Amino acid sequence: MLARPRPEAPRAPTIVPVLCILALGLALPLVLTSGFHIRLAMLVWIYAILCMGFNLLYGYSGQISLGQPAFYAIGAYAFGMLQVMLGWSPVLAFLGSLALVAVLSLLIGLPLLRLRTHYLAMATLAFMLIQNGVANRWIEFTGGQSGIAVPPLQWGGEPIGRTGIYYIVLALAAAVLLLHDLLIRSHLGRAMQAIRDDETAAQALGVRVTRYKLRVLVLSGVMAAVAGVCFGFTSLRVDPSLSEFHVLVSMLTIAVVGGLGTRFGPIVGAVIVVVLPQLLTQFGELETVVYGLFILLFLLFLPHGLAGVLERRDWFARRSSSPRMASRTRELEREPS
Amino acid sequence: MKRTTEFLFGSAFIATATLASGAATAAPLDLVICHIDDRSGSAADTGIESLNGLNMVLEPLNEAGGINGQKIKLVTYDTKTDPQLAANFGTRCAEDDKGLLVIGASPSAVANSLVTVANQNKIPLYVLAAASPELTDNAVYQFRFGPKVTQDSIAVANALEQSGVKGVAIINNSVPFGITGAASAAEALGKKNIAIVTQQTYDVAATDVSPQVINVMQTSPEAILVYPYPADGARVVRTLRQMGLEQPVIMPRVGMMKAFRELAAEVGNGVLVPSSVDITRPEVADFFKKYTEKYGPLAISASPVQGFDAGTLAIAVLKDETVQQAIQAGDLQAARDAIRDATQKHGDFTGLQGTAKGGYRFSQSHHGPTDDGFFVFVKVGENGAALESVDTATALKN
Amino acid sequence: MLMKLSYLLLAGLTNGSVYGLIGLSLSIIYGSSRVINFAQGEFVMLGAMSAVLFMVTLALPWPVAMLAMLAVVVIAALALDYGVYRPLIRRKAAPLTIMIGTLAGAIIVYGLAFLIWGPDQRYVPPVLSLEPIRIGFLITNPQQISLIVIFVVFLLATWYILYRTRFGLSVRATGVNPRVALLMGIRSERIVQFSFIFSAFISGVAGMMVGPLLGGHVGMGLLLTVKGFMAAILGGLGSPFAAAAGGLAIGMMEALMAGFGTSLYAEPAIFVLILLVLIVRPYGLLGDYEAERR
Repeated sequence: MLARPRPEAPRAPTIVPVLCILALGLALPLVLTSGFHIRLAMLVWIYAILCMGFNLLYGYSGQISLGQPAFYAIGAYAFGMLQVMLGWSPVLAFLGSLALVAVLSLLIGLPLLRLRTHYLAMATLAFMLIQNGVANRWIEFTGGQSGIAVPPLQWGGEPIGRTGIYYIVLALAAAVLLLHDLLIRSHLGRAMQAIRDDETAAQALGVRVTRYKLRVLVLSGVMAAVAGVCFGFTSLRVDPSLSEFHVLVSMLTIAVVGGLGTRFGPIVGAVIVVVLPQLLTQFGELETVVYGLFILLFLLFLPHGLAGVLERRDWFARRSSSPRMASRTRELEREPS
Repeated sequence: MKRTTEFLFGSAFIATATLASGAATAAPLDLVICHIDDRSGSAADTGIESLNGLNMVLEPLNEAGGINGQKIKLVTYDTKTDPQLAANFGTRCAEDDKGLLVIGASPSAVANSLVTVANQNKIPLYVLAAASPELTDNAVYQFRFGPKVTQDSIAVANALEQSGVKGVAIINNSVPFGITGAASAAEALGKKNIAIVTQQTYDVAATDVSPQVINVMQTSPEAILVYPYPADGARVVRTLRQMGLEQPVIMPRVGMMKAFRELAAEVGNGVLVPSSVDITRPEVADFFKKYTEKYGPLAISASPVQGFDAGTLAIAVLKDETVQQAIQAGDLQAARDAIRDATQKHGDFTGLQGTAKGGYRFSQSHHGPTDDGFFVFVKVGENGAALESVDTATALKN
Repeated sequence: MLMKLSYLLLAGLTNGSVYGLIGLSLSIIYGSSRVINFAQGEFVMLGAMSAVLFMVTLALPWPVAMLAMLAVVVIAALALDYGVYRPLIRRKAAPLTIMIGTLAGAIIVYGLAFLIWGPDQRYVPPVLSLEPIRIGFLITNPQQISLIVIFVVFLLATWYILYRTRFGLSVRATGVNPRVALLMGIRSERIVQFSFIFSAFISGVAGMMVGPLLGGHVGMGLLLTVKGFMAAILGGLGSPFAAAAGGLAIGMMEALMAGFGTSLYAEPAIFVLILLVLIVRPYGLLGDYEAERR
C-alpha cells in the first residue's frame, strides 16, 4: 500500500502517515519520563478514539450525535460493573461492554435516525441527559455521584504499571485508527460521504441510506465504548461526570480544532484539547474566555481544522488529480459571498 | 502533524527536565504543596475560599522565614468542575512539581478522581469540602477535613431523635448534592427508626415548587428536611410558609449561605442548619474577622475554615522530625510516606471546625471528623441577617 | 383533590412559561437563520446578573435598571451576530457548525460573566412583591404570576410582529427561503439581526423576572438552554408558537409527574417522553409545516 505514482487509482491515500503516528505512539514512553506526561498521552488516545467515532458519524456521514458521551459512559460503567458485580474477567467485561453498547445504539438508532440535523442533535442530547440522570439517581445500582471503582488490570497477579497500561490503550487506539482509516478509504467511506452531501442523491445512486447510517451509528457508539473502557482502566473510577457537558464540549472542540471529516483530525484535536488546559493555567481567571475564543477562531479561520491544513498540503504535493481532493480544494477556496 | 505532537510534548518534556534538575538528588526537597480545587466552575466559591484560608496560614509562616529556613511553595491549579482535569493536575503535582502534599478537592467528583490519583502516586491528599460518603473508606493516603454528607445526616438524625420527632418529610433538588443528601438522610433516619413520610425531588430550573410542597402537606410531617441550592432553598421555604406549613425546617449546609438568607429574607427565619463551624467560639469569630479584613466580607462558611485547618495541620506535619529527616535527605517518596504517618500522628485535634466535643480524628481508619460532637445547630434569624446558635432539642419542639 | 390538581396546573403553567419563553426565543432565531443558539440561556443569565449589577451594586430604580439590562443583552446579541453568525455564514458554514460557534460564544460569555460576578449564587432583587396573594383558593405570589403574564405578552407581540406587519412577512419569507427572499429585495442579514435582538430581549426580560426565584448564578445559562432546546424540539422548532407550546407541555408534565408519579425520576422520564414523541412525529408535536418545507 505504499505510495506509488498511479494516477488511475487516485482515491486511496497512503497508509504511511497512520503508521508514522503509531510509531510515534510506540516511541512516546521512551521520550516521556514523567508519569504525568504518559497520563496525558493516554488521555490523548482515549479522546482520539472517542472522536474518531464522532468523526465517522458527523464528519463523514453528516449525522450528528450529541449522545456520544452517554455511550462513552455506558461503556465505562459496563466494563466496571461486569467485573465487580458479575466477576467477569477484564477481557470478557471489555467484550461485554462493547456488545451492550452495540445493541443499545442499534435500539436507539433505529427510531432516531429518521430525525434530521437539529432534531437529531437534540434527541441524542436528550439521550445523554437521560443516561446522566439515571446514573446520578439510581444510587443502589450505579453508586450515584461517587460512581464505582474499577479494579486495576492485572498480569500474572501483579497490577500492570503505567507504561503497560499505556501500551494497552495504544493498541486499542491503533485498532480503532486502522479501522477508521480503512473505512474512510473504502467503499463504505464513499457511501457515507454521499449520504452527507446529499441523502436523496445517494439513495438514487443505490446507496442504502438507512442501513449505512445505522451501521455508522453503531460503530461510532462502539468506538465511544472502547474509549470509555480505556478511561475506566486508566482512571480506575467511573462516575456520572463521564457524560456531563464538559465531555461533550471537549468532543466538539476536538472535532472543530482537529478538523471534521479529515483523516487525522481526531488525533490532532485530542492532542490540543488535552494539552491546552495544561498550558492555559498561566492565564488564570481568563482561562475560560481564552478557551472559548480559541474554538471560535478555529471555526472562523481554519474551518477544516489543523488536520485540514496538513492534509491539504500533503495532497497538493502528491495527488492533485484526486477528485475528492479537488472538491475539497474547491470548497476551501470558494470566495466568501 | 507529527511535528505538532513532538513540539507540544517536547516543550513539556524540557520543562520537566528543568524542574527536575532544580532538585538534584542530595539537596533537600523543596516544600511544595499543591492546592488543586475548583476556582471557576460550579463550586468555585469553595475553592477560592479554601485557598484564601490556606494562604492565611502559609503567608505568615513564609514571612517569618518558613520551616528551618525553607519557605513553603504553594502551587495552585484550577480544576473547574472537571474530574478529568483534576486527575491530570494531581498527577502533574505528584510527578512534575514534586509536590509533598495535595490540598483541595472540594467538589465530590473532583475528590473522587484525586483520591485515585493520590493512591496511585502515593502522595498524601487533604480533601476539603467534598461530601461524597465513600471517599475515605479504607483510606491510605487521603484525609478528609469536610464531614461526609452522612455525618450531616447523622447529626440531624441525632437531633431529631432527642426531640422525639417520629416522621420527617424530605425535599431535595435534582442535582447530585440534593439526591445524595436525601439518600444519606434516608439511611441515617432509618437507623433511628424515624419514618420518612415522603421524599420529593424538584428540578433546580423550576420556578414553582408547589407540586412537591402539596405532596408534603398531605403527609403532615413533624419536621421538614431540605437539600437545595441557595436560591431554590429560598423558593422551597417560601412556598412551604405561604401554604401554611409551620413545621421546623432543617437545611444542611445551604441554610448558612448568604444568597439563601438574602433571598429567603423573612421566611428564612427559624431555618435550622447543622453546622461544622461553631460561630460562638471566640477563635472562629476572630478568624472570620481577619478573613474579612483581608479578602472582603464573607458569610459564615466551612470552606475557608477547612483550608485554614488543613494548612495548620500541614505545617505541624512538615515540622515533624521524621518528615524533616526525609526532606533533608532528599528522598521524595520517604517524605510523602512520612507526611502520611505524621498526619495520623498529629491529626487528632480540634481546629476551627468542630466543637470542644469533637474534631478531626485522623488516627482512626476513616481519616476524618468524628461522627459525634462535630456539629452544632444554628438558626437563621433577623430576616437572614443573623445566624444564632441554638439548642436543637428546644428548637425542634417549636 | 381538586385543590391539588389546580395547584399542579398553576405550577405547570408558571414553570412552563419560563421554559416556553426560552423555547420561544430559541425558535425566533432558528426561524430566520436555521441556527440553534447554544448561548440562549446566557442571555437569561445576563438578564438576571445585570439586574444584580444595576439594582444592587449600582442601586438604580428598576425601570432604569431594566433599560440598562436590555442594553447589555442587546450588545451581547449583536456580538453574537457580528462575531459568530455573520462571519460563519459568509464562510458557508453548515448550520451545525454555526451551532458549535454559538457554543463557543456561550463559553466566552460565561467566562466574562465569571470575571465580573464571580462564582457565588447571587441575590436578585424582586421587581414585584414576593408576598403571598390569593387567587380564588390558590396561593401564589406576584413575581410568579408575572412570568405567566410576560409569557402571554411576548407570545402576542411575536404573533403581531410576524403576522400583522410587513416586516414580519419578510421575517417569515427569510425563514422559508433566504435566497428567494433576497431576490425579492429582503435584506436577510438585517432580518437575522432583528431576530437575534428580539430573542435576546425576550430572554433578558425573562432573566430579570426569574432571577428573584431561581437566583442569579453565572452558570445558570446552560441548564435553561437545555430546557429551551427540549421545549423547542417537543413543540417543533419551526414555529415560535409550537416551541412555546412545547415549553408549556414540559412544565405541565413536570408538575403532574411530581404530583402523581415519581418526582425523583421526573426529569429523565420527561426526556424519554420527548424521545418517544420525536419517534412518532420527527418534527415535533406541531411541526408539520416545517417538515413540508425541508
